[in-house]
Amino acid sequence: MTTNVDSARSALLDTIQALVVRRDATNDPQEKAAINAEIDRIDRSVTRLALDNLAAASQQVSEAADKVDAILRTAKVNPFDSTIDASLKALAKASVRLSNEASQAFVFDAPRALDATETDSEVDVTAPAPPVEDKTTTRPAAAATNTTPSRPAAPSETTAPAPTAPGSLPPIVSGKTLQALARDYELCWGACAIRPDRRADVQRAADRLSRGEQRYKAVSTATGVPWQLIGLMHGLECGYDFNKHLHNGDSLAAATVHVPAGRPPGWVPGSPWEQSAADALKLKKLDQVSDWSLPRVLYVLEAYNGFGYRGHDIRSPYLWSFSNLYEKGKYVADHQFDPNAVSKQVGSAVVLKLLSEGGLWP
Amino acid sequence: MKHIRGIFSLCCIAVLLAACATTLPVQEVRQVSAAYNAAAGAAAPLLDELAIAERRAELRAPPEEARAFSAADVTVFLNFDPRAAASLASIGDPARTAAQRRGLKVVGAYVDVLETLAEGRNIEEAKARIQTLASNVAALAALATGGAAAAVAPVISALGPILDAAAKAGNAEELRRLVLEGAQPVDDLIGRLIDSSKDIYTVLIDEPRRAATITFSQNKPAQRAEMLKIKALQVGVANYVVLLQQLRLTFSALVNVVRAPTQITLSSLTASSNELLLQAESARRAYTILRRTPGADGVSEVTP
Repeated sequence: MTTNVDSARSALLDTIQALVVRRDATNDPQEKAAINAEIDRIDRSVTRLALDNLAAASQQVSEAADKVDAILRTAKVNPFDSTIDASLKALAKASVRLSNEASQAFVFDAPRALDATETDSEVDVTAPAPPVEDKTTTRPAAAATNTTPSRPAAPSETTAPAPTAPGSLPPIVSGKTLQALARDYELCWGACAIRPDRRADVQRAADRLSRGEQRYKAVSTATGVPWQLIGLMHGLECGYDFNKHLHNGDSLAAATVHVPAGRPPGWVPGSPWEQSAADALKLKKLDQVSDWSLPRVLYVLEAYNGFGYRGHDIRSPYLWSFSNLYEKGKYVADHQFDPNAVSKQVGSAVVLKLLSEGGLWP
Repeated sequence: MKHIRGIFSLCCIAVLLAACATTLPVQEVRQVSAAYNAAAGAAAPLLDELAIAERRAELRAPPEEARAFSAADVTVFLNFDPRAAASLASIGDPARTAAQRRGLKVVGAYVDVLETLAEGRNIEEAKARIQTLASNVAALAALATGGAAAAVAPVISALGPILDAAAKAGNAEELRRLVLEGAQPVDDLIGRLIDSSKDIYTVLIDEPRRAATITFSQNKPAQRAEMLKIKALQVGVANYVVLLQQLRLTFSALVNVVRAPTQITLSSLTASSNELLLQAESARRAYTILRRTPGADGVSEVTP
């Protein structure tokens, strides 16, 4: 089929041919030179036209080749690719599930320990612990005394608990300030004994914590918070999973969604866990604390979950679960306390106790 | 044990795949491959010539913006355009030739994949991958359970025939998919390559045309030599097109076999393929003789 381009090319070639005949017929050198120049000019156009046409044809070849290439890229030359893909995906899913389950075993799954009249307001954990004693109330230790002998303290509205006799448990103390509770923490620490049937579970939690020691120490260097405390908080909030925000166990894939939401501000997914952890500690002003005594550490931990258990005459499982200081009683929903529910997670003070036995605390 | 369950699942999948195995059109794919090789063999020297012709033409008739300057029979560009680099370079193909060569190579890669699937060249490698995966899964399972890793090699070895059958079935299915999905695009591509022959020819003969019709218009021996060059190129391009057309027909026959295998299609395919192989050899010889004896009786020797 003759196209316009073909016609144009033929016309140019005819012109050249006519000029060649004229050039070959003339004896005038000047005319010959003029005709040659014109022939050359037209001939260059013929060449250019040929190149342009080939370029257009080659472009069409390229486009057609791209389409075949796209099909080729989908070729599965390994007949088991889909089987392998499916197996690997299933394997990855199972691994994630197992990992989550393993982490979940360490997360403290009860709601915050707040009574109906209480609000979820933050406690100032940075307040100093002056020697002046706060108004406190002591009651006999209720739950734990069911199985463990204790010496009930005499009810007093204003006095701090007295030292306990060997083999007995300190009385329950009410209060929300470090100065009110410092002595109680010391007495509980002294009386705390890990339940033999739960020692393996406590050991497993301590082992998980120890595995993250270097990362906790990095955050500790940046904030001044003891690495053991960071590890304990990490276990209770995130099950030692470094893919979760220390604030509340939300995924690092985005800023926190639950309270406290939107932390860290300007969070870029893929940023290191340490960055988020430092933000969580600074948000609670723990970086402003300089006195990191044992009572302070236990106070910070208890404040993390709430002091509501003290109102029910039991010690917080958040601290003492799996020890002789806790038997039963647990918040099963916000403001809803079940005296017979039993915490299945290890208490943070109990893990700290084991670390202490191993020389990892203080 | 989880890994044993995994291997068992794998077996089940393999057996299921084997159960729905379809026949592989091995012979038909081999014929397409032969047709491609014939066309590619004819194309190689032709495209080498085209690369040279394209470069010379580009220098003789550059785009206006290139600011060509000629003096003492030498043409240079006063501006350097990176887009023209391939035409000016002494290495690689200039752009148009490169596109033509790539077009043919893509067809070759496609045919190669079909051949790999049809002949099952990928099966041993696939089985090795399965074995590696199964070993890793067994090791992971052992790690999780605290037990010793199970020896999966004997299990995989025992599963050999089932895996072979599963792989063949997978290959047949994939080949069928590729042929059906590629039917139109591959036919289009071969068609574009055939259509390009007109413009390839024009660029190829640009220099001898000029010599024969302008420079040597009054020098009959020199003019004849140039005419023979054109004739050789004409035969070369024509053979290339004939082989591409044969490739197109052969591929079309394969598509028909995959769509609906019938004895009629198979026999017609065999005939065209044998014919094509003979023609490919003939084209190769013709082109060689023509390029070697431009001034002799080459034209009469090889005129089809």
